[in-house]
Order: sequence, then structure tokens, then C-alpha cells
Amino acid sequence: MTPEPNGSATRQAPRLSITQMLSVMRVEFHRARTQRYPLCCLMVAVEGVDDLAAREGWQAKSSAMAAAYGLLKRVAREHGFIGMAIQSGDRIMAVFPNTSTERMGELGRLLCEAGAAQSTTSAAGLALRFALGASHNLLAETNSSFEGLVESAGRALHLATGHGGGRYVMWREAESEIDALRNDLAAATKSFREEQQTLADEAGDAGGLQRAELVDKIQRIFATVVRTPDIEALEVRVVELAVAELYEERKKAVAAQMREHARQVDMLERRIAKLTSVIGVTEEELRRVMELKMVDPGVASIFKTVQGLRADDPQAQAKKAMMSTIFEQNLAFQKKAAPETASVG
Amino acid sequence: MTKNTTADIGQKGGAEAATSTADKGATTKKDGGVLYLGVDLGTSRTSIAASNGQRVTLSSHVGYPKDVVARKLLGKDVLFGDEAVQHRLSCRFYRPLASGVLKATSNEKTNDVEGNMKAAADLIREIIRLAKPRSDELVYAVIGVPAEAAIHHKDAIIKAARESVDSVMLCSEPFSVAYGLDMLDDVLVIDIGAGTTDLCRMHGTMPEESDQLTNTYAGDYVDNRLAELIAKRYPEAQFTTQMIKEIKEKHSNISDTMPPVVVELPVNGKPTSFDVTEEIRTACRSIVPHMVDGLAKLIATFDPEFQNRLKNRVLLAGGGSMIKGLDLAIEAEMKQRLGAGKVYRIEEPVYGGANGALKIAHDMPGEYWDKLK
Ligand SMILES: Nc1ncnc2c1ncn2[C@@H]1O[C@H](COP(=O)(O)OP(=O)(O)O)[C@@H](O)[C@H]1O
Repeated sequence: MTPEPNGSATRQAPRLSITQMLSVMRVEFHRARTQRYPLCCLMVAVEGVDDLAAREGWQAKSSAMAAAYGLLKRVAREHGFIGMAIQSGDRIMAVFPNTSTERMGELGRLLCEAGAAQSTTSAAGLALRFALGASHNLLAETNSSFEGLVESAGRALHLATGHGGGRYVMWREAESEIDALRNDLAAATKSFREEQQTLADEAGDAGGLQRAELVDKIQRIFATVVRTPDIEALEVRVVELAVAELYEERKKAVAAQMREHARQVDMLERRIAKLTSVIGVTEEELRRVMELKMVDPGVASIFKTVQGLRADDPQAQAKKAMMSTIFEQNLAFQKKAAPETASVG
Repeated sequence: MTKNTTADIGQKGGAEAATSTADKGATTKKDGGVLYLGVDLGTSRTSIAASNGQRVTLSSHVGYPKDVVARKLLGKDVLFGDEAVQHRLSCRFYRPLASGVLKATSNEKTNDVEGNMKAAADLIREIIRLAKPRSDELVYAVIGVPAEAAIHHKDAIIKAARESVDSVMLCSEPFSVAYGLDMLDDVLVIDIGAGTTDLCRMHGTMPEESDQLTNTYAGDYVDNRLAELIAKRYPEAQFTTQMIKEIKEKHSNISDTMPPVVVELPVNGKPTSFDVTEEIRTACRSIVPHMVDGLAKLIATFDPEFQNRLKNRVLLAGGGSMIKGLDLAIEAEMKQRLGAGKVYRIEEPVYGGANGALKIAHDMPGEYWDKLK
């Protein structure tokens, strides 16, 4: 899709602000939700762009980002997508309506390839190494809100970065599922360990067994007969035998239970391993991301630096004056507030 | 948004130049980025839009559990929004922005000034928390407050906000709505809230006192009218204000061809059906002449050369603007009384103010933020 000026007479620039872009994306998100079609959100970072900026200045970074955005447009030219390169946020964000996860993956792969193939033409004379994170709107967490969708794409991007480029991660159920499985596993292991301990204690405790019901019964039978030394010896032997039998059986039961526990743990572990390999990230990476979620660090702003009025804003002059008036008013509130606060309470 | 705007538009470094100058003065210790917040602190709803994509809205209610038992039951020290409304009987219940306490125009001596101020402060903290700011970010907020900009105790609002942000500014709410839509020149904004309708004339500079008018023909007025009309026609029907408000929000419409509205109201405890089509239309329509009165005043005192332009650029905002057919009704009345009129409806009444405040925050130069820290 090529940029086309919207028909509104009041807006002179076809360019939209980031806030406006976000609301356009949001509208698409809600449309997809009500009309029930798949939609993907893609975030692209250029690996090493900060180093590049440090070495060659922000223009180099700027043109790398522009080149990246150009590639995305080329690769996805048959796709209607809504995208923007957020200069100060070091990433490209795009929403692809009517796009399946497979198609998104394919686009991701193409983009990585295109970036790698650009080695000679890129601004800095370097290949563009991309990290790509994507999410789709088919999960509960990504379907219920635009924020959820963006956040998941951001997490996927987080997983994809730091590998020297070429990495595409789609945030899917697998990730959430692994998270849940790992919690299950931790809980299961803990309760198994406790149970195992109890079993082991019990099995090893012959004294306990001696007090078992069977022993009781045997002794009661012997109590009904006339006790001779022979019979007493016999009683001791019968009790010993019974205890030994009980012990063996208990051990077998415990062993069977242990095997069952081990099997369950093994199953969980294998399922985690399988899911992990499916999504192509390591356990370590996944854990890092999940821990990130636990503390809820908040959602990052798309801005890295203080913004201010855009120089090319068609109403820049009027807006500048307004900003200054608002500031003056607030300065006055603040001055007035300072002595007043004391009298308020 | 029109379909046309779904073009892919690269955001280039236009802002970067402005940034580099702004950065010089900044005493930035945080290096995690800059989060802008736009807050609409309304009498009935408080909403936030943030530059991390978060958007949240809460009804402007705050409740504090009355005693230990209630606190235990509710499991919280403060409740907000609909949750507060739901448990209002076991709470000390506040509508901090509606109480009049924070308004200069109120000469009533309400005894719980402090309570209301605390509630307003807690509400601000909560809405900011809900936007999920990160601790390593510099947070700058613009808070849109009702247009009777003469809100007292602005310092209380600023103080509360400053606990959670690095720098904060207040601005008038109808202005932020217009700013958010880039409609700064010759526009009349009608912001229909619960307690008041604010009219604001925009002409390329900050609106002044003489550009603003406020009247009380707003959401609550419609509710009261509707209740009266229903009570008159169906004296046997039993209802509460809350029920009436819900009926209005669900069916509000003033077009001549509106579909019939039949609602169930109890009669001696038994649900009974009532046709309230006419009542809804009449109640919703009752605010139109008053709005046009206000428009007429603001137009008449404007530069004659631009009066016509102004008539043709009226922008409807606020929760009350969701009444179906309201734009056409105002247009019709304007044409009849003022000879011309074109009324536009804002896309997102709930977030119009917050979006605009966010845009103001974004456009505010860095050195201004620094000076207010
Ligand atoms: N669908 C609707 N139709 C008519 N009125 C509505 C609708 N939804 C909300 N309102 C009314 O809008 C008013 C609140 O508007 P809002 O802009 O949120 O107020 P404020 O700016 O005072 O916080 C309430 O009176 C509410 O009943």
C-alpha cells in the first residue's frame, strides 16, 4: 500500500503523528476483532543500531531505520499494512490485517533475507540484521485488547533481539503454555518430593510397621492359646515374617508410586522441551521473559527521547504559541500553589 | 478515521531536531525513555491515553471501606470506578470532580473538602498506575480538567499527579479535545458531560474566558427530564435515577424515525413493559435549544468575517454526544435560527479528551517540562 493523502481538507500533511498512527492501528484491531479475521502485529528492530549511531552518528542510524522500513514496504508490498518507523524508539511497528500467522512468518523470513542481502547498498555499508517479534490476535491475551497484542509483540521482539539478527519470534500459545506448564512442574515436583519423603520415612520405619494392624491380630491369636516357650518363639517368628512381608509390600507400593511420579515429571519436562523447540527459543531466554512479566515492569513508551512539536507540523506556529500559553498558566498555578498548600489542610 | 488514512506512513525524524534542542536543558537521570500521559479528569469519567499504547477509562468514583469489616470483605483500602459504585453502601463514597468542592463556582460549604481532595488525588494516582508506566522512564502528563477552568485547589490535583510523574500540566478539557483533532482554527467545541455542557471557541490561539461558556443542560439534566416525563405518563412505574440513566445511555436518540423503545420497569415489584420512545426523544431533545443559545452567543461575538466559517465547524464531544441524531438536530436548529450550521461528531467520545491531552504532552517542548519539575 502506498501512502495516499487522505481526502480531508483540514489536514495538509498526509503524514500522521505516532498517536494518530496508533489510533488507526487500534481501529484495525477492533475491526478485525468484530469481523473475526486474523491480524498480526510486527515489531522490527535493527540489531546493533545503537553501536552504529555511536560510531557514525545518528544520521547513519536514521538511514538504517529508513532502509529497514523501505525493505519492509518492498517485502510486504502486496499486503495492506499499517506501519511506522519510530525513529526515537529504534523500531518499526506494523499491523497486518487479514494476515495469518503462517503468512506473517513467511514475511518475517523474507524480510530477514532481504536485510542480509542488502550488504552492499545499506547506508553504513553493512547488512541490515533484523530482529523480528510478532503477535497475532488469536489468543485470549492478544484478542481482548490492542495493548495485549502490542505487549506480546514486544515480548517476542525481546526474545528475538541480541542474536546478531535474522531471528523471527512469533508470540504464540506455546509461550504462555510453557509458562503454565513450568508452574505445574514446579508445583508437582515439590509435592512429589514431600510425598516421597513421607513414603520413605514410613517404609523405613519398621517400628511403625510392627504396630500395624496385622501384628496386632497375630498377637491376639497367640494370646488365646497356652503360652509355652516354643509357642512364644513361634509367635516372634510369625510376627517377624509378617513385618518382613509388610515391609516388602510397602516398598513395592512406594516404588510404584515413585515411578508414577517420575513418569509425570518426565512428561511435563518433555512437553516443555517440545514446545520450546517448536518456538525455537531456549529455556533460559524464555525464563528471562517470563520473569519480566512477573514483576510487571510496565509497558515501555514508544519514545526514547523528549519529543516536542514537529517542525513540519502545518500548524506549528499556532501550536507553539499555545504550548507557551499553557506553560505560562501552569507556571502561575505552581507559583500560586506553593504558598497556598500550607493553608489547605 | 477514514479508510484512506490506513496508508503506511513512515515517521521520519522530523521531531529529532526539536528533540536535540530540548534535550540540552534536560536534567534527565532516567534513561529508559519518555512516557507521555494524557488524562481526562471528567466529572463522570476519568480516562488516560499513554504513549505506550495503554488506554484506560474509569468512572470518576472513589470509595473507602467504612470500617474494618468492610475493608476485610472488600479486600482493599480504596475502590475506584464501577467497583466503588457497586459497594457504595459499605464505603465512604466520593465523586470528587462532581461534588462542587473542587469547583470555584460552588459557594456551598461542603464539610468534607479534605475527603474529596484525597479522593481526587487517589483517583489520579490510580489512573496513572493503570497506564503502566515503567520506573526507568521520564513521565510527563497533561491533565485536562473541566472547562470551568476556575477549579479550586488545582494545586491538589497537581500535587497528587506529581507523586507519580516527573512533570505535569493542566489544561482545559474542550481545548484538549480540539487540539487532539488538529482543529485549532475557527471551531466551536461542544463538550457534553454529565453535569455541564462546555462550549469553547477556538481561533488559533489559546481560548480565553470570553471564548468559553458553560451551562447545566447536560447528561444529568436529560436524566431528570426523562424521569419526569416517564413519571408523568406512567405514574405507576417505579424506577431509580440510575435505571433512567441506563435506559438513556442504551436508547438515546432524537431522530424522528427512531425505533420504538420499550423498557421494563417494575410496578408493585412486577416487571411491566412501557413504551418510552416519545419520552426519550423529548428528553434528549430538550438540551438542543440551550446549546444553540450558547453557540449563537459565541458566534455573535466573533469576528463577523469568520462567523460563517465558525457556524460550519461545530464539533460535538463528551459522553452526551453519543445521543443519536444530536448532530442533525443541532444543525437543523442552527439553520433555522442562525441561517447555517454544520456539526461534526468526534470519533471517540470517551477518549477524545485524553487523546488530545496526550498530543499536547507530546508537543510540549522539553524545557517547559523541565521548568515545572
Ligand atoms: N450512549 C449515550 N447516550 C447518551 N448519553 C450518554 C451515553 N453514554 C454516556 N452518556 C452520558 O454522558 C455523560 C458523561 O459524559 P462524559 O463526557 O463522560 O462526562 P464528564 O466530562 O462530565 O466526565 C453522562 O451524563 C452519561 O449519561
